[in-house]
Amino acid sequence: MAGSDVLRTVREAIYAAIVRTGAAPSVETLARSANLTNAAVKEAFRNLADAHVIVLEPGTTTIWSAPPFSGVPSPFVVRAGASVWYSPCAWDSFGIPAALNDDAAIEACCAWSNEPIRCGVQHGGTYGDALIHLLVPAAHFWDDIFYT
Amino acid sequence: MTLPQAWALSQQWYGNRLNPDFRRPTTDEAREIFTSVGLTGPFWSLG
Repeated sequence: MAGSDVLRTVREAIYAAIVRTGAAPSVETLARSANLTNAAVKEAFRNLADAHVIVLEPGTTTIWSAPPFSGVPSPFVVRAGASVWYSPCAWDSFGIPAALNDDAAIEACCAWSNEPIRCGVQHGGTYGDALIHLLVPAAHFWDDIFYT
Repeated sequence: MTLPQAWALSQQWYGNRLNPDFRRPTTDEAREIFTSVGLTGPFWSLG
């Protein structure tokens, strides 16, 4: 399989797993399901991270995020139907219904007051009363994506 | 940003993320997307 084909296969498998299970697959799980070697999947993970398609936990090949999905539980909970996902940030919480082309209910907390926030997408429009404050200017989003 | 802005931005930014032919927006495309949903000014500048 050519390198670009491996990247595409791995990327599709990552997203398929997160959409299906709400969690990011490990290298070993994805390698088995896609009939690839662990080494090939690790290399693909690193290449996808370099291209800002996914985010790996520092110094590892563990997926932290495949935007807009978080690979691990986070304070931003997104529900659609009977499924639950997590997103890495407030903006990406709306990215999940956009990616799924579905309505979704979002649960989060105000970063200032810690009050619960209920908002989301219904019938193609938003509901809820909140503002999203980004701390890092757009040109520097990826300088430290964990802080962003 | 407001929630309607976040939703409009997300639809353009992530709407094709599960598409097999997905690719990340180029810098120019990102600028156009930000502007189209009213995210302008120095904070949203990409240089």
